[in-house]
Amino acid sequence: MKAMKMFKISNLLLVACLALLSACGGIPSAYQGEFRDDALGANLKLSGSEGTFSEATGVLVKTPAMALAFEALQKGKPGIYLRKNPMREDLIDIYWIQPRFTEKQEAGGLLWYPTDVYYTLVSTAQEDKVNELRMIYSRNALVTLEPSTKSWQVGWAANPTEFKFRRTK
Amino acid sequence: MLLRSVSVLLSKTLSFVLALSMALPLPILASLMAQSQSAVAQDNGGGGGRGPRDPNNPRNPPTNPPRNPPTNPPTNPPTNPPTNPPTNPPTNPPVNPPVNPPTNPPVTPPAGPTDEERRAASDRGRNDGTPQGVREATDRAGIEADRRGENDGHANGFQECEREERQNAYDRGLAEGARRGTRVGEERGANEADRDANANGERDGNTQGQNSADRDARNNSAGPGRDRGLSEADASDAAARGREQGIVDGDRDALAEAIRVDRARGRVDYNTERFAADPRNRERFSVRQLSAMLMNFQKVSKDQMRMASDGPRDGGARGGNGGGNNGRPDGRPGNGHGGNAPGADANPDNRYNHPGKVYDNQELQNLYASNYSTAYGNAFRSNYREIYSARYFRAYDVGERRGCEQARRQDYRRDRDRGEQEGFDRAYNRSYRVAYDNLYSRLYPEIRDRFAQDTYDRVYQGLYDSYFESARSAAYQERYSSLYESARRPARDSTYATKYPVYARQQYQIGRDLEAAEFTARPLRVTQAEIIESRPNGVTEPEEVLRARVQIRNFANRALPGDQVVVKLEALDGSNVVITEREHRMPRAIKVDSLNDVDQLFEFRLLPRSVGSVTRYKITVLFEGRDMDSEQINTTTQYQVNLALNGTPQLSEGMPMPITVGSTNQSRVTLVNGARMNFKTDDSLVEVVQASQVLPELSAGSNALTVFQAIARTRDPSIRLPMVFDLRAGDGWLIGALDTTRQVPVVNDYRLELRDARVNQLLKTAGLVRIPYRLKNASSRLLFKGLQLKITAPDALLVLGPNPQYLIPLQSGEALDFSIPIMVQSSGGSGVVELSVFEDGRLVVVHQIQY
Repeated sequence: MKAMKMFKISNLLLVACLALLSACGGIPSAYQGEFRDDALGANLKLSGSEGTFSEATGVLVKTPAMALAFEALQKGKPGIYLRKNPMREDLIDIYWIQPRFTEKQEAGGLLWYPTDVYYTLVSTAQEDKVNELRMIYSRNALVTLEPSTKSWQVGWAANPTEFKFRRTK
Repeated sequence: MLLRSVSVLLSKTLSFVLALSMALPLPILASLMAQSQSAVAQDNGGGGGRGPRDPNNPRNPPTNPPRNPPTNPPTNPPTNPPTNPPTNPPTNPPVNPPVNPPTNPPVTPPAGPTDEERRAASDRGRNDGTPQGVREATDRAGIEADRRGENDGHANGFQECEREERQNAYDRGLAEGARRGTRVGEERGANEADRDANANGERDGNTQGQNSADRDARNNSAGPGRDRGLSEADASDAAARGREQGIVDGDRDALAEAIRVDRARGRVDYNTERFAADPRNRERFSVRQLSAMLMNFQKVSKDQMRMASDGPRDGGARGGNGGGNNGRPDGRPGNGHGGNAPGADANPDNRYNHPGKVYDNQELQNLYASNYSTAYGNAFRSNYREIYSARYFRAYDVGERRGCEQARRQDYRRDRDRGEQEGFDRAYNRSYRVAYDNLYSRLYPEIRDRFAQDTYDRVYQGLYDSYFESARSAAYQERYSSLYESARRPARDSTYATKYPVYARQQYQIGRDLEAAEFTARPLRVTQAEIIESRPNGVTEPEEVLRARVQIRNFANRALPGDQVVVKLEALDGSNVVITEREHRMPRAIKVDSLNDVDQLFEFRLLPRSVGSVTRYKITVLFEGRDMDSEQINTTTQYQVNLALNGTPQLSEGMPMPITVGSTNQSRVTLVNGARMNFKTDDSLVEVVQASQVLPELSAGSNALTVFQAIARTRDPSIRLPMVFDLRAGDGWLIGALDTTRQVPVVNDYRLELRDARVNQLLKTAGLVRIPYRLKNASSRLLFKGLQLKITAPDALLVLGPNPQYLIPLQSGEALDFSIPIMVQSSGGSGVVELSVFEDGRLVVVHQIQY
């Protein structure tokens, strides 16, 4: 009986999550495709629900896209988190997070952990494929959570790396 | 048997109720029980006689309505309503007894009145009521119709005849007034026309005659008068008199010119010669070194100066008629249009409404009474209306005649008078105007012309004589003046030329003598006066001690005792200057024919409020208490360095922003390195990072900028900020000042808002404190900029959580809430918690909490 109840709740949550993701619409089609930053030797591949980032050094990051949810951040789940910008509905903040969750700390009602973060801002109003994509990357970044209010912060130190990707496909 | 049946029924009913109670809610059950008990009570009602059915119970509707309901309800309904007749009395007993025998035994209803009896009672009522109604109508209708008809007729007759009489009276008066007005108007018009024509004709005629006479007299006399004047002048002694006067004038003018020019020249020459002559003695001395007495005076004066300087130094600038038409066309009431006379529809007062028949049966009694009353009323109304109408119109006519007669006996003199007045006025105005105009137009010209001629004849000669004399006199004067001046001018010039050289020599010498006497009377003269600065830089600064140097020349042919020679300073703009030494006596004799440079005279200083303005002084030399000479000198007060704000300051909350002051050296000397500029302001609004700064060396005329970093400690978007800058030389001397108040904007890209006002109290108490903040991007348009948050706190406070914290990028206008957990390790402490926010490393806002 209890298992059945849990199953129903989890289904509901799943539907809610899917609804949220579709609200953001995943990664907008204008930004989907393959990009490269020649100067920094980085490649980026974006589909509607997934992103792959690779560097010449062999670093490869591949994660699914999902609507930003507090619980996912609380579990330190890596992913491409999409959030509708509260000031402009046509903009989506994209936080691509690769947490170092084992280094998490808790004090004073806060939970925080270091992370690698890729950040960009895309427009849902963009119809044609974009040829350039600007993205911030920082290894010196933090995810800070306040469970009592379910508020969250994803931020990074000053002077992050800035990729200027150009579309290749 | 009956009891048993009842008990069986009750037990069944109760069983049913109990069963229902298991399934039905309590209110429904209670309702059902009430209905059940009601039904039982009704079925058991035989003992109580025929109880009335509950008309509200839908289960017991009356099966038959009462037969023969009264067509008209009784006027006074009986207090007890008739009971319902029994429902369907059984005509035949049942063949088979019912399974459940009726709880009530069959009841035989009492026998009611028959239809025949009812008809009889009704007929009897009508028959009895009708004559009584007729009786009341007969009693009342005639009397009431007479009264009403006569009243109405009287009122109408009176009104009509009164109106007719008033109109007749008015018309008669109007005709009479017209006759009288015509007569009076004609008489008065003629009289007044005669009067006015005479008065106006006389007046206008006189004027006309006077004007004509004046014009003719002037024209006719001008020529002869002038001719007479010219011939008389030619025959006069004008030329001889002119020559005589010319000689006098020439002499007088020569003397005046010699006095004006040559006497003054003599004085100037003498004066110049005296000043040009080298003095035999040349003296130079300083008052400072000469008089021990002055030292004491100086000391007192400096004390006064200090006292005076305490005030202003830090002050400076802080300073229907409706009515149906049921009547006759003449407005009288009609009587034949289906209508009635007014008041014909009366109601009976039932004075004879006394039904006399008494029935044993209540129903029959009610039927009788009802029909009686209805018949009474109907009979009353129909008879009353008929009788009333017939009588009303007769009475109306009578009343109308009486009213009219009464109206005709009234006094209508006021109407007649009104008509007479109106008739009079109209006729008077008309006849007056005609009579007046006719007569006036005939009389006026005659009278006017007559008077004009009379006046002309009377005044012409007098005017002629007057004009003649005027013309003669004017011509005489003109010719006489011409002859006179023609003779005077040459005589004057000739005399002037002859006399002037003589007078010039005389007056020149007189001038020299006068100036010599002036030198004798005022032998001491100020030949030079100037200000001496105690800080010699070419700028007379506020608070700088100033003195004067005066050059005095003694033209006397003897030495003058020093104690009789006084030099005095007087400020002509007293509010700008404080004079602490204003007078000196010469400590030794002023040598004969000497030029004396007297130095270090006086002591005075200019007040800061005089900066930018000109101050005037007068220096006077006295000998034996008499003014010998004086000189006026001026100074313009300036600081050595002029300070001015460079641009309009703009501040940011929590962040240092520049406030720049420009300094210009206005003096002729270089300002050496070491001068220090201080900045004071309202520290509750703004914190100045380094309020005192050293200026670089400034050569004469050059300038420099000094930048102060100021941090706004307010969330107001604009503040009124007082700013005081002072610049002091290395020795502390004030060499520049600026006191100003400006409206300064406080602008931040980001704004921090502390969301709990109690935090500064909570931080004094040991325990965990969460400091809630709201950060808003107020105006930054940059994208992709992460935010960094740095908290600094005293050691007694332990910042929990990451420090620095990193926050999400904010779009312009976007805000986010966050909190900073801090562990207060001991109670009662104090200090400052500072929160700095950076936008990708750039400090954008700082907030301090003082606890």
